[in-house]
Amino acid sequence: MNWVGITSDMTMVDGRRLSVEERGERMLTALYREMIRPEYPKFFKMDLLSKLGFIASRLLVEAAGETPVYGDKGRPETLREDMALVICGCSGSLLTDRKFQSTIQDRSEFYPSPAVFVYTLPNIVNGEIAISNGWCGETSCFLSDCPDPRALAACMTEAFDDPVTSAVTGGWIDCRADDDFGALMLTVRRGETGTEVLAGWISEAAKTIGIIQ
Amino acid sequence: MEYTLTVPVADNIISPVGYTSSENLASVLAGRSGLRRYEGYMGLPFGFTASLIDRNAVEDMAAEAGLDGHTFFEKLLILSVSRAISQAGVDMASPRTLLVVSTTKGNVSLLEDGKDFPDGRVLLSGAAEAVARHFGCVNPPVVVSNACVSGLCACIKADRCIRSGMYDHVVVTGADEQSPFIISGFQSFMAISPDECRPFDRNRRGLNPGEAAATIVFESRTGSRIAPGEWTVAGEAIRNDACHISAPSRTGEGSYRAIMRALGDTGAEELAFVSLHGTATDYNDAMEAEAVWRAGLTDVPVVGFKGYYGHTMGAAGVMETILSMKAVDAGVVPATRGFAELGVRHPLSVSPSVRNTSRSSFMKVLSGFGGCNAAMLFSKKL
Repeated sequence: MNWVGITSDMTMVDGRRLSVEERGERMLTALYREMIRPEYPKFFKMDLLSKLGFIASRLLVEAAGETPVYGDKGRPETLREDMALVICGCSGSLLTDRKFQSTIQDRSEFYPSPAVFVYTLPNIVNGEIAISNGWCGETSCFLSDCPDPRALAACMTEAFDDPVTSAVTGGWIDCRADDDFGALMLTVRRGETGTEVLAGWISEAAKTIGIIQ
Repeated sequence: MEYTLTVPVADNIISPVGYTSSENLASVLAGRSGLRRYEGYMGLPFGFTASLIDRNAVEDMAAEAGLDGHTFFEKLLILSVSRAISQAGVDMASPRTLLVVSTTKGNVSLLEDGKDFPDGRVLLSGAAEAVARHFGCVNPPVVVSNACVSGLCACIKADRCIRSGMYDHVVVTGADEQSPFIISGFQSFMAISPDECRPFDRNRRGLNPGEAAATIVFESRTGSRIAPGEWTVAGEAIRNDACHISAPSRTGEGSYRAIMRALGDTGAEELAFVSLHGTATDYNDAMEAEAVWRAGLTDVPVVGFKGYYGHTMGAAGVMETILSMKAVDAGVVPATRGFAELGVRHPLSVSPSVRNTSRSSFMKVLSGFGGCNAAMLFSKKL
């Protein structure tokens, strides 16, 4: 099973640490420049949460040896309906929420920006991942107070309830602050394993990158 | 072996037009709307038309129920859940009961004026846990936040949890508070109609923000124990457009795929109606007409509830499902308030008047930011 882990100062693919000079958001930009082919200019318009999810998903696709054919705007040329996407997190869009609130807090300096507002939902990262990978299957977003491998595994397994789903990409993605974030993402195929074993895998990977103790 | 089915056994809607599901259906069938014009609301530098709950009435009900220490959003959820579970005898503290909360922005208004509450309450999980604590839930609450599609995604989560065999009851509750945060965001998107919204109409000018809380109690039941007149979840699907994060797909891709999968083998002639999202924005309604046309459902009556309630965000999927069930029980297809003349590219069976129906299934469809679409099919045992 392939997995990707990213924290504010470390990136891991299948347990191997990538050497990236920068940290925080600059590390994500460095990963984008080194790893993402062809270019995906939308990256620079995304908020931190979406950048994190996008990079993690593309590293995961590459680690799995998949070779989508990318076309217009760096998106895959064909859609796949059989890939479900399940994202769990704690902070959701709170970082961008605070940014948007600062543009309306003072009603005499009232300049709400649609480009910021659109990222004030926890599931926009699902949309960015779905668009950039051409995944038009199920996309779901759940929030909890801390990473819960059992709950994530259950949500991922439940996505196989849809007979069209042949694989589920799931993960914990959380941005607490601009320099304090973490993501763990993995893909499981139908019939590969059950919820308990999957929860064990998630737990082990989460400990390896330090998302849980 | 007998299979498990998911049966909605109790429900509640708290909205500007009523505090029970029956009051709300009666109001819809009478053509009453919660929409009105607001000027200077919470200091916002623009006027707008919305359907907002009477805060004083909710605060009075909350005070009577001893809900001090909760935010307005949490009070809405607690009041709605309390009213629903009292009809069904649900033990919220049982390990076989799960609470699922559907919301887009929860306690986001605390960012503006949250000095009376701990920081963690602005997190969606923090708000849901405060509600779960009130009811003594032993399982951590599940929080679904899939933008405007959240309510249906929460019901789909409930169905899957019931059929997993792990729960006897799953209580799905959805709400959103219309804070300056949400209203100014939609205003910045130029998505808000200056007047009452007109779903699918040629003169539609956008959506109206709406407030509601709605709750459905789902119960686990083996197939042979479904009684005539009871509803079951008969199909469901979630699909992404994989096209744009805020604009719907012009081809209705995700909505079409969700409808087809949720419909399964059920024929169009079995549907009393399809309850569409019908926000009355230009793009949403055009997209839904495209999806309905591609799905071959142009002859099936469609209904939009936003002319009564505005867009109630996290409550929409739950509330509009309840209203649809109650309408079919009453043998009617509700009128689409605000609609007069068709303004989409394909024919749609949408009407400004109440129609009769003898059919016993309906489909609920939603679409939202993040490109997400969901559809659920509900059927009643005859």
